Amino acid sequence: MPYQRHPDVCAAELDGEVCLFHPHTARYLALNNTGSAIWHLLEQPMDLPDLVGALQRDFEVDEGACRDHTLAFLGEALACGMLQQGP
Amino acid sequence: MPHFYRAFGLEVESDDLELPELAPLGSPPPTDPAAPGNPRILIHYEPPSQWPAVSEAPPNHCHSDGRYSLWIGPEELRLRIGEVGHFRIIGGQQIGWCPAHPSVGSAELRTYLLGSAFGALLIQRGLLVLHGNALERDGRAIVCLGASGAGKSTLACALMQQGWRLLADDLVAITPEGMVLPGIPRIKLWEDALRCFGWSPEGWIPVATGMAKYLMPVDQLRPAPAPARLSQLYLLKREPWNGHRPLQRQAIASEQGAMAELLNQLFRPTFVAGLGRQGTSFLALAHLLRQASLTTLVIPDTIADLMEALTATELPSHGPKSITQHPSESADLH
Repeated sequence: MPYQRHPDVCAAELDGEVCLFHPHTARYLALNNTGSAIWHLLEQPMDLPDLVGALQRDFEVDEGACRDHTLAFLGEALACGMLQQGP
Repeated sequence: MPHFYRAFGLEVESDDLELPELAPLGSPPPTDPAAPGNPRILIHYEPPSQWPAVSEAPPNHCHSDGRYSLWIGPEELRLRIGEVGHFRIIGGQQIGWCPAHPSVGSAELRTYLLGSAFGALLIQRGLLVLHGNALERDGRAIVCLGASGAGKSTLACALMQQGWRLLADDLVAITPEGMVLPGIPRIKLWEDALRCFGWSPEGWIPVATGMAKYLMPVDQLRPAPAPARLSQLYLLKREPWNGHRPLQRQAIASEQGAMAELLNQLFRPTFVAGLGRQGTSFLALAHLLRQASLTTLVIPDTIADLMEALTATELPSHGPKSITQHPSESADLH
């Protein structure tokens, strides 16, 4: 199931990283550079293998670690509604 | 008889109520209030019995208890303050008001009219509205934020004595271009604070009947007449004094950290959320952090200590970002 941005979430660049704000919950989330990279990639919906593949092209990181970091971010972003999963 | 004023860059027509806190506009302006896009605000008497029935669509926000009730639809906000009155703010254009009883004083009514009601109107107009005060010097503005009692008004008084002019108190409205609009120039001081400045409360008007908090007389204020570009935000934090002079400044280095603080400084977050302006406020703050940074200002927790520290404090009117990121603009000031 592909991941996608919640359409109502606002994003702004601060300190060179992405910050997200969810207007329904007033939740604010400042992303690190992994999170920022994933947010940029999700301009189009993507599934986990495609995300990991794209991140490995940009960062020198082995597949296992990349997958772990990506899943951790996706879990947090889903939990606070910044991302959603679906067709 | 209508009275005409100017506030927040808008013409204000108040039909039945004088608003001495606002700058008078002189002779009535010739513009037609019915013209589309005319930024004239109409403030008029309107009892709730004349309010139209609310639409069947569920409101964005609804709350009611003995003290106050609040109803927010997409373009309209209705507010009842139990012992004071009723207010209806429509489309960023109109404010209807009605006292709760004939005995309610106009000063009390104006406290809410020029506070919550005007704040709602400015939010409807798409402005970023912060809770604090703003001062101007050399065409640059600073905004001071912080909880009630953090010392914002005392600091503003001290800065006016150093040549700063007052842009706004309580409601600070900032345009998408980062300009702070001249708002309501007033200062409310507790008696112990105004006595520390060597003043006496005779001739000052109490904020509420019997309250030892007073409005500074208009002739003692130094109001700023024109919008000014925001160059620095200060967040006031009260702490026991450690003897440092001048006031200690601690820059909040990360913009992400500054954003987390600033999101807590919006005027009436419930209004912002109900009017669907949370996202635009966030984006406006992010934009603002490109031209102005946020610095914590440690305020001594007694007025005597604050006064002593202030005598040695000179706040710059140019924040670091306004110099480093806008060299072409700062150059024309020399």
